[in-house]
This record gives sequence, structure tokens and C-alpha cells, in this order.
Amino acid sequence: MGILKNVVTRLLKLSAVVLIVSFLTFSLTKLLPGDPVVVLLGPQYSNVEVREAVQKDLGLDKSLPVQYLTFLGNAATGDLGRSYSSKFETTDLLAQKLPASIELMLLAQFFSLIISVPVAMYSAYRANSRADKAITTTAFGLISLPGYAFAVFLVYLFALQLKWFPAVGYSPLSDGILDNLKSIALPVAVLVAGLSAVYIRLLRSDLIATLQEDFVLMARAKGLPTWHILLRHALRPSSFSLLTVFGIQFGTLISGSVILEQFFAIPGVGSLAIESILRRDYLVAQGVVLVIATAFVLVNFAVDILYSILDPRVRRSGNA
Amino acid sequence: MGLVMVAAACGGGDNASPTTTGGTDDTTTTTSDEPARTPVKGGELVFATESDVSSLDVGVAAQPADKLITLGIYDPLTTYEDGKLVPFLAETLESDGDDLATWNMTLRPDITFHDGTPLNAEAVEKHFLRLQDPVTACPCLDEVKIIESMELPDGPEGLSVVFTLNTPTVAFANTLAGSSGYIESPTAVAEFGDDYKNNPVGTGPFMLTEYVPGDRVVLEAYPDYWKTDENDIQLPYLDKLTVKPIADSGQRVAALEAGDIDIFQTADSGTIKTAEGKGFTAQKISGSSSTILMMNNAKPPFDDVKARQAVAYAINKDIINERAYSGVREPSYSGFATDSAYYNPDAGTPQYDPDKAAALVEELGGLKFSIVCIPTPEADQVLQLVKQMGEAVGMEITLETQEQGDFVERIFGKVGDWTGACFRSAHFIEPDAIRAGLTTDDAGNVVFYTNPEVDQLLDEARQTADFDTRKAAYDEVQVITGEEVPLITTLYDLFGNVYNADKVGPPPPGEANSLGAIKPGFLYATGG
Repeated sequence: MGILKNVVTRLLKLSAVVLIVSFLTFSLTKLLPGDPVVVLLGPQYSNVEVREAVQKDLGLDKSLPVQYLTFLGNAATGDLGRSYSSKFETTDLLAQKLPASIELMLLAQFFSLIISVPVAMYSAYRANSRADKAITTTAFGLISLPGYAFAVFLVYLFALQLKWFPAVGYSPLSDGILDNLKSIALPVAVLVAGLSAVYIRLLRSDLIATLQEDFVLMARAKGLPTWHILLRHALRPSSFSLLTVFGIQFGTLISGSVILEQFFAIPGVGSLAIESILRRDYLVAQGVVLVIATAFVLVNFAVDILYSILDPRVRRSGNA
Repeated sequence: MGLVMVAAACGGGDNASPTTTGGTDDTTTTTSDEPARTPVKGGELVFATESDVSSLDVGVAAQPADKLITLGIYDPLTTYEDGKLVPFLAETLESDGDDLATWNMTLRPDITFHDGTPLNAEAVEKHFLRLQDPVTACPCLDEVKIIESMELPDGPEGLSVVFTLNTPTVAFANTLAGSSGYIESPTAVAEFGDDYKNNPVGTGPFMLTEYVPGDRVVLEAYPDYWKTDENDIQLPYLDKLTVKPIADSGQRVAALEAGDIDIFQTADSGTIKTAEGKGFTAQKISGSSSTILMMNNAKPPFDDVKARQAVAYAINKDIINERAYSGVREPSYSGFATDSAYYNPDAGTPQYDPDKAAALVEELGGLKFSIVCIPTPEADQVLQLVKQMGEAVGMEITLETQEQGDFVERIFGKVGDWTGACFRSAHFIEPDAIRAGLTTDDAGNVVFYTNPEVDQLLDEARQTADFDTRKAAYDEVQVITGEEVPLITTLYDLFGNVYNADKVGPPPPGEANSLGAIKPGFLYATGG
């Protein structure tokens, strides 16, 4: 009963967050100087008759509250409006761009975890050894390295010299899984480099702290093997920082990495968001932000639930 | 590169260029010597552009990427071949003798759109009516509203259209070579309505089979295309052309090297040089536009002609060429190219003379102004140089940047709260195109230049087809604008189509007024 009430309250709060985010986006884009009609009309903008006809056609002549409420009302029925310039529906644009961003995000997160958890465990276990120093220095280096610099290097080595992967472009899944994976390998590698470095450092420091706890000493005294202690006893309580950042990273990655997308010519959500703002395509920008905010909020909701699963103390006290 | 987007985004129709100092009548738009072409039928190519498609609708397409694709999907009513205006989709187009307000057009017979609709007089009429409708929001409105009425003497299914214009102008045929002369299928417009832009249907050599915004446009050969080349080979040569945007210039070259693409278009001189250095071939196209420095003629300090002249004297265009463009471009002092029939060698904006500039600045008691531009690396570099040159002769110059959307609105909204600004202007083969930028109170005159004598000369020049009369008028306009300096052209832009010669045959000459775009129907693969 308590749990149900908990979940419902939380969902209500999250909906409020999404609503506030959407309202802020709306206000901010409207506050930006610049008129989408200028982008459409060019020199004809100075012709008042034409300008007003177009504004009316696009619904831009209504008052701001009316525009916002119309947007919300439509959004509730799944209609996120259309681009003023290209006339594509926002939902279609998102459907075209989300797959690439989602795939990038899922693969990057997955491989980062696969790499960082074992490396962090080893590093923590062998803290201050030469291996550990090498690992932490590398991680530090990767965090300092700008993504695009690494990207240029990867393209030079793997696309131009070895010719294993294409230099640009995204091959959708419908064109074949092998081509798809090849086209996404280099951008994923760039993301994984940055993400795993952060995850390794976070997990390592938490693990080192945990490994000094009494219960670990107790487990050793009982004669439990090292890997068992690390995996079954030490990992769980050390994973909260990692989990928090992991959840936040979903949000960052969903909104797309604009630089990577431009560099590798990947049609993703980041480029969509930026372009719609630059073109003052208000409806598309709002629709994109709404979707990203909702996804982000849901992911972090899941992360919260994971906290309570991982840590029984959290579960019992009824909050995270 | 970004500057192209500025002019194109707002310069919509090719002839509604925001500001021009003069059209060029160059008989060639290509400056490289053309290698021999031996076209073969068949093959597929991947063509990379610098930016994504902005619109595939008629009347709007202005950016090089859009032009490349729309020149594949549509046919213009007229076009330039070897510098001469000839009918293309139209079979004939003539004015009624000396009456330049009435034009008779006949269409070629037996042509169908990609969806099977026949090309006839009604399709043409509907096309222009649609462009004239304010709700279509066509930046080409100024060009098409000159059509007062149309008559179809052989009925809607016939092939004749008679245009009555509301003012006589010799330039009407030229307008139809631009994107407002591309004819779309009325059936498609009726079927798709607002969504037509994403489902373009024309009579051109290629059909649009796939369009994923931000990713690619796929064009496939239209089997019933009407045109054959001089050896009776039916166009297009290619079976399939995929167009992809690649924003990063370094990656474009990398993609060419890796074989991901076969050819790309670029406005960046540095990229052209790099790619040539790696063994690729570049078709260079110059003279179709130039970067310009605009000055607000309506308010101080540039309401004083001496201030404008001072700036002109202060700028060393050769230095800018070397430092910002690796020396590949050519300085310009007139809106007309030096090989244009209308070029006046006895006129022209002031050449570099720092002493004269300093003297004028002193006479004015100092010259202080700001220049606003969009924040691209190219603009930054050029304007820093201009600032240094200005300061060397005693001027005080502040550089401002503004994001493209706002910048365009500020200029086109004609708010007039700026002193200096950067821009890119297109040069047209038809000299009448300079009218919009210089005529008092015209929508395209964003520098607020006004001179009743110039207005009159430009009016006279468009109302006659007689070359000598026109030449005399444009000569005089060049003399006047050379002295009054409403704005300053710096260098002719250089566009390039860079390709792998093992896979791609030499492209056709650059299309007039199209910032380096080519007709893709004439592109061929070498099967290498």
C-alpha cells in the first residue's frame, strides 16, 4: 500500500517536472529574438501583407497562452505539430532521428559498463599498484581528451588507414545489421572512451571505500574467495554514484551529441533540436524537448526504483 | 560557408537577391579549363553537400544543395547554355515584338510529370498562381507578381500560354531560368497540399524515391525523361544519385578518401586545396556570387558618401585573398565580371589607397562604425582583416556577431539599426537583376541606397531589348555607383565540385546563378 502510494506520488511529481520543462522551453524560445516567418520569407518579410498571411496560417498571430495551451492539448493526443519550414510532422522527424540516437546511447552505455565494471573492480582491488596507476592515469587522460579530437584520430586510423569502418554516415538497421554496426562503431567508441573513464573513476573510489569496511574483513576471515567478495558483497553498496551518473548520462545521450552527429553525419536528435531552435521552428523544438524531458524523467524514475532494489535500507524507509 | 546560407536562406528566389551591386554577364561561369567529357550511360554515385536540404519546393530552392536536387527533379522553363538564355522546358518564349509586357510561350509536346500527369498550359498557369498566393510564402513573390494575367489560347490542355506583365521588362525570360521557373505537377500539389514540399514531382531527369531529412535524398532515373544528348543518349546518364549532407569539411574529404562518397560540393577554398593535394580533381566555379560589405546609407556615418569611399579606399583585397582564401579567389571592384558584355572598364569602386582613405577620415573628423556578421570562421577572419585595415587609416571599427536567424531578420526586416554588415550577393547573367538591390524602397534594397537617376536608368534598361541602349544605361549606373559606393564587393566566391576522377566523369558546367550547383542529369560515372 505504501509502495503504491509512493509510486503514484512520484509519478505525479515527475509529470509536474515535465510540464514545467515544457513551459520553460516554450517561454524561452518565444523570448528569443527572431521570427520563424523571416526564415521562410527572406526579403518578402518586409511585405506586410504576405507576412501577416503566413503568420495567420501558422497560428502565430494568437496570444502566447493560447499558443501554449493549443500545443499542450495537441501533445496530449500525440500531435506535436509540424515544422514551419519543412512541414514535416514533429512525430515523423523524431521517428526518423530517434533510432540513431537511441542506438548510439544504448550501445555506448552497454559497452561502457562492460568495460568499466571489471576494470574498476580490478583497479580497486589492486589499489595503488602499477596496474592501478596506469588505469587511473589513462582514465584521467581520456576524460581530458575532447571527444572530437579523439574522433579525428579514430577516423584517421580506422577509416582511412585500415579501412575497417566508414568515415561518415549512418546505415539504419533496415539496411542490414552488419552495415549498421560498422557505421556506428566509431562514434560509439568516442562515447565509450569518455563514459568509461568517468564510470571507472567513480566505481573505483566507492569500491576502495567499501573494501575497507568491517564486513569485508569479516568475509575474508570467513575464507571467501576474492572474486566472490568483490562481486557479491562489495559491488552492490559501491554502485550508487555510478548508478546516479549512469541515469543522468541517459538524458545527456538521448538529447544527442551534436558535435558527434555533425562530425559523423549521423541524423540524430541533437542536430534536430539545434536546427529547430536556430530556425525558430518553435513547434518542433518544443516537441523534441518534451519527448527528451519525458524520457529522461522516466529513466531516472527507473534509476530510483533500482536504488530501492539494490539497497534494502532504502526500500524499508520508503524513500530513495 | 555559413555566409552562403545567409544569402540563400533569405535570398530565396535567384533573382530576388537581397543586394547586388551588379549582375555579371559572364559567358562562362567556370574558370577551370574543362576536361573532355565522354559520357556513358548507367551507374550510381553518392554526392555530398555541405548542408541539409532546406526546401525542395519550386520558387524557393536557392542553396547549392537544394539546387542540385531540384535541378534533377524539375526542369526550368528556360536555361542558360554557354551564357545564352535558351528555352528548355518551354519550346519557344518570345515577347510580342517590341511589347515587352506581353510574352508568348509554347511548351514542348508529349512531356509528362513523374506521376503521369501531362505537362500542359494549365499546369503552368496553376504553378504561377500558386507562387503568387501569399500563403505559399514564396520568397520569389517579387519575381512572380510581375505577371498580371495569363491566357491559354489553346485551352488548358493545350501548349500555349500568353503572359501579360504589369510592367514591361526584358528580364522576364531570365526569371524563368531560376527556381520560380521550375514546373511542378498540379496533381501532386492537389494530393499533398502542405506536404508537397516533401513529395516533389516534376518533369526532370530524376524521380525522388527517398527523402530522409538530415540523412539523404535518393534520386532515381526517370525512364520517360524527354531530353537526349547530342549523341541521342537519353538522359540522365546515372541510374541513381544519392545526396547526403556532411557538415564537417574535413570529414567530407575523409569520406571521399574512404570511398564513402564519390563527389562533393563546397564553398570552402581551403577544402578545395586540400582535396586537390590528395589527388582529387576539383571543378572550380567562380563569378556567380561575391562576399560583400554593406553600409547603411540611411544613417550616419554612412549617409555621407565620403565615409563610404573612405572604407573602399582602405580595403586591400589582395591581402584578404591571400590570408583568408589561400590566394585562390579574385578581387572584384564592379558588380559585373571583367569579361561581361556590360562591364564598364572606366568605372568601378575605389581601389586600395590608404593615403586617400586617411585623408577622407581626417576630413570627416574621424570615422567610427560597427560591422555585424554571423559567427563563422570565414567571416571572422575577413572582418578582422578589414578592421585592421580600417584602423590603420584612423577609423574606429567594432565587430559584432549575431546568430543567423536574428541577423537575417534584422537585415530583411529593414529595421536599419546597423551601420556595417556582411553579406553574400549573387551575380546574375541578366543585368536587370541588380535593380532590386539599388532601386529606392525596393524590398531587396537593404542598404537604403537612393538615387533617382539610377532608378530611372534601371527602369529604362529593362524596358528595351536593344543592347546598345541597355549597355549605355548600365555603364552610367556603374559610373554612379562607383562614385557613390552603396556597398563594397570584396572577392568573387569560388565554388568547387571535388570528385574522384576514377569514378566520376567531369561534371557539366556550373549552372548560372546557382552558387556552383550543376544539372545532375548530365553527371556521369566512369565505372571505375
